[in-house]
Amino acid sequence: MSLYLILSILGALVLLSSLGRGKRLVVPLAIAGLLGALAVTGMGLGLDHPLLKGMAEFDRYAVLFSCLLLVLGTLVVLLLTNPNERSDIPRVEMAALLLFSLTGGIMMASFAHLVMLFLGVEILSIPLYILAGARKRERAGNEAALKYFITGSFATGFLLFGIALIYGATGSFSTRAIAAWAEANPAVFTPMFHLGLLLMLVGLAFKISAAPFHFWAPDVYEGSPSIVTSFMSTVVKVAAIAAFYRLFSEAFPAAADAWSWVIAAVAALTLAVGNLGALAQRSFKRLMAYSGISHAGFLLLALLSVGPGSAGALWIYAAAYSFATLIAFVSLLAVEAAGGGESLEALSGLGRRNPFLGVCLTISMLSLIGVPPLAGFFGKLFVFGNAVSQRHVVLVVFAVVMSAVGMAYYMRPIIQTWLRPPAGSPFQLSTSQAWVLGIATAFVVLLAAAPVWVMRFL
Amino acid sequence: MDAYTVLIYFLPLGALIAGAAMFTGNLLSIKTKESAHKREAYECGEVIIGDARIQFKVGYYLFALLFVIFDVESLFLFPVARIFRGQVASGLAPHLLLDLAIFVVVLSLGLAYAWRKGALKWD
Amino acid sequence: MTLERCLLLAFALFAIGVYGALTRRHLVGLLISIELMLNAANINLAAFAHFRPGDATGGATFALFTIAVAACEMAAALSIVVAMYRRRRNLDLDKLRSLREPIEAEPGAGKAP
Repeated sequence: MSLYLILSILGALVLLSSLGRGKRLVVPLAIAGLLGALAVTGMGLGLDHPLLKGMAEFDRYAVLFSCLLLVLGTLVVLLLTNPNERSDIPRVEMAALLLFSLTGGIMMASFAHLVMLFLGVEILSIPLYILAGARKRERAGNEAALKYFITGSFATGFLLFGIALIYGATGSFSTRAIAAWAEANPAVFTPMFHLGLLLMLVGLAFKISAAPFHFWAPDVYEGSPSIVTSFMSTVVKVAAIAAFYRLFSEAFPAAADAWSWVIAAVAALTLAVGNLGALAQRSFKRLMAYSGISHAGFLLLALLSVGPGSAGALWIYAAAYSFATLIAFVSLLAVEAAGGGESLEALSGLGRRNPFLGVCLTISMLSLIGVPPLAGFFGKLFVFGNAVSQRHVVLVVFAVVMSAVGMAYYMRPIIQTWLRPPAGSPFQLSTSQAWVLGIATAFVVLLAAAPVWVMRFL
Repeated sequence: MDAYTVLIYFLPLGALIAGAAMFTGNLLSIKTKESAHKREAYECGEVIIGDARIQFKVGYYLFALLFVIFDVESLFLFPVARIFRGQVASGLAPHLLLDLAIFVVVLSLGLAYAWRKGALKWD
Repeated sequence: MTLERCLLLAFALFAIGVYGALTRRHLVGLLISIELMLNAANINLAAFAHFRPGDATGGATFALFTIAVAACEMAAALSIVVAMYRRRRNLDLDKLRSLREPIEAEPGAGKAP
């Protein structure tokens, strides 16, 4: 049975169970279903079977990214069980919407036909527009939902127009047929084809919040409930970059001359905007939003060096980034539940209020900087290495400078955690939060053992 | 029979249906006293004369949202109609019926959810 | 009707949609602009399916999918709009100012309401 079907049936079951009396069982049901889906996906590894008459394909790339998305999704759903979380969020509906959105994310990682790409993007986004406004009585929540909707559907318009033009130029929606067309017409500049390419690029750049299409991210991240923000900055980012890479490496490799300089420019701009913008922030949530923008820039570097090993580098980078980011958001949720706000000052003395949380947060920030034994270091190492081998030396030097700038703002939470007086009394983590923290931290630390395996595999 | 001849058949048929509807309505309805409201033309409960740029009750939007469910359902009749004859000819009719049933069940689940949550109440 | 005319129409609609989405102050106007953009793409899809050789049913089916997806998107948007209207009694986009950069970061921004 296909993964899409499992996840959407699971979502519908969760939604319907909210009508009956079994509300307590909902989130365990969702988590059990997600783990089952993960097992099914893992078993499908290497089978490469096409789905839906070749419109989707679970090759190694798709399976590995689906596993990553499923693990991240499970952890976020696990966070929903936290009893300390404010009670004004409709948990059951949120769990169902998260599952629907996750289905879209997996479609984006496994499409082989532009219909599936478009549907994936929309199935990912539409539940999120609602989730961003899950606290419907709050001004900030409404505003975040609306801003997310406006930018998201604006981007959809570009993506769709691009798809239509590509279809007009090549006569097909299938990525293979498009690649074959591009190979057969290498030197010709076709306005329709290249304009379509550019419009699709803009549409997807919106979704991964790459500059100059990033402006929505800090506001939306700030206004949404923190659980939803953690989903946006991990699952959505990973799914979007997976789709981006899959599209450009499978459908448009022959047209690389036309798009690689655009991606290079976007990546450079994104790195600058993300890292410099983060320096001015006082809210931890906004800081993480800018961190997400800057990492979108690093992820785009992997796209520039499509070739052997680049998919593996992309996966490692995406996994390292998203687990570390998840830890940061769990810290934020725990501090919020203990009565703190979203500002950086709310983290002060965290190391003494809850040493486990303090250590995890420190590891996460160090990994985001790219300190050697942690996963973030290997992500940067492989992505930079690939880019250098494709002669993007200037860009890599710029990226290294920007990671140094990153150190300046990632150190601020660490300083708050260990060197400032406690902002409150010690507090306990809830069981689910402790589990999520433990698992995510384990990934950040242990991914260091896996890179060679992943690189060989993809 | 050209297009205008059809019209000649349809005019009395249309009049008949409209007349029958009004007649049965008159039979079944509860009679109320004459009032200013009763003499107004019926426009779904909105004031009929005045500025068109008024604010509608938010409830209309909720109903519009639910209407979208069935709007979308009718949309997918087109591809089904396109392949219907071929599917029936090749003996796949039960298969097609099952697909359509699943589609309608999913849509009705959405409606059932909205109903149970009280979205259809007009207050 | 030729392919060129269909494409011109689609490009014009798309451009109007983009312009509207960037300049409209009122939410409903903005939703209409976004709908224009999506429908411009639909015209393109239908035109290509009709005039170009290749996967002809594909284009038409894609257009149907797009209409369905756009309907869902608008349903989500309308529900956000309703929630917002209940909270604020106002749909003016210029008054959305709860979320923004820290005030020190933009000196010309003035006071936060």
